[in-house]
Amino acid sequence: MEERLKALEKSVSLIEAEIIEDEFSVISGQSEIPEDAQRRILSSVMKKAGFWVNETLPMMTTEENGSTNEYIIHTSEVVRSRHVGAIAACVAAAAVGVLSAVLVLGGDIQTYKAPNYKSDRHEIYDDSVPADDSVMTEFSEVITESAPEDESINDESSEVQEIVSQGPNENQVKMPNLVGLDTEMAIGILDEKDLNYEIKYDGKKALTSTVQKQSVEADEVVDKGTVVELYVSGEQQYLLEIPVPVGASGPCDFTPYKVEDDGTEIRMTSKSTNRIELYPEPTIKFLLNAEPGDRFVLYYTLPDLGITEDQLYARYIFTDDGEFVLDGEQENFGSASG
Amino acid sequence: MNDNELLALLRSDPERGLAQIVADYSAYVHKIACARLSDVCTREDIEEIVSDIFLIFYNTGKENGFEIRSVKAMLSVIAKRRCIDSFRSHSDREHTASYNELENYISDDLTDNAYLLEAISRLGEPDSSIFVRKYYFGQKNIDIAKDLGMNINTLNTRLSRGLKKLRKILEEGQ
Repeated sequence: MEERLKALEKSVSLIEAEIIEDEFSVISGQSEIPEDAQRRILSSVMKKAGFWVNETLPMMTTEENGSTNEYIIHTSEVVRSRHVGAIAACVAAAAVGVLSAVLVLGGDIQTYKAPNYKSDRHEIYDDSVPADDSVMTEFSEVITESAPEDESINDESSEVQEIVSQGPNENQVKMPNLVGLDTEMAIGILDEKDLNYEIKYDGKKALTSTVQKQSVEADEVVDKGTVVELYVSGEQQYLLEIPVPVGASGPCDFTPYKVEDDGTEIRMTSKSTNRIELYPEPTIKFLLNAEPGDRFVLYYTLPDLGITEDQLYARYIFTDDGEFVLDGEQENFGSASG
Repeated sequence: MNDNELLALLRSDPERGLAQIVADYSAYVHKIACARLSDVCTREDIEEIVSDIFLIFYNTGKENGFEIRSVKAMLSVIAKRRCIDSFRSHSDREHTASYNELENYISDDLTDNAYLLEAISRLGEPDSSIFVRKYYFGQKNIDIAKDLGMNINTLNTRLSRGLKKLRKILEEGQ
């Protein structure tokens, strides 16, 4: 028996692993990792995958505009930017009649003479090239290969077409694919992209409300503020928004309960975050099934502040107007919470 | 976020999806790596290996549109394979396998181990996960006891009784 058990250490079969998936869940739930180690691993993975080049913590870092992702520079784009930057430098040099330009591509330094060229500059938006870098020039092929002979490009009547990026069009965004996502998550993504939404429920009972269809196709570029219709499963739900508690820090868990007439509290859903102080949104949103007159109570835990048991955050009543209104005081963690 | 949501996020927004997978599962994968490698690797090496594991998961998933039946099972297998490889390379100073080689190591074959794993699963908690920790991931008894806040003697007793129970389950199944 011991021998058979020891052989398990060498098992790398996926089907076998799926047999003990429940045990993995238990072990996963019992596992902990120091925050700094998690940060290093996250940073390393994202760099290796080509997503980041800086030591930054993603989902939890907020820029001034509230977006969570816009600060991220893709490795491939950095390489490209450096590349087109060199091209731009060369074209600029050519356009003003400088006789030599230095190209630094992949560490190789190449020098060649460039004649006088007329420059024709066009500007376009490009999400992947920083503003003022060249997107394309007539020289691109020559430059990326080897240093050309003077004669090969020595035609002074040629005109250089330089297309310069204005950077991303900040008024437009690319529509994400939300089909299959939990409705709350989908609206969170739309919020991040500054898109508005209208939710249409199919009215059928469902354990989880998920997006079935979206009115704007994935990858379509649309103006910020565009109203996207989401066709979702489940009965009508209403939005309860609470301000992200400013005074709170560390891991945080919010759980709303519906209060029955006899006082019984029925758990509805929960929201967790590892770093509440860096939560990217100004509010935490819950979509709840509710009817006028229904009462709700919201509890929270904040282990870093020593609150490990559910603590009352606020009580709400759902009104005829389809809104949640505070029923009493709201915990503000000792600071202004918006 | 459950696994279906994670996979949907990986499809719709790979960058956020990958970051979320790491946020949700780095403790688990780190645990698997430490179980096998803490004697032969430095803390930094283990963290790099953990990041490799997520990268292999991401690259493998990307190839099939993240049609993954179980995120935990997939991560577990990749982690095991990567740790076995690292253990060998650190012990024998052999060259570490490339990512592509590692991806190919994820086998979909069913072997005799399946019956044994089903029997372990039927032991019930906490015994089933104790057995998975010890025999599937190779975690030391002392570390398992520490993780579970259990006295080492209690753990040994549980393992001993679990072995008897496991034999019985397997005999009944034959």
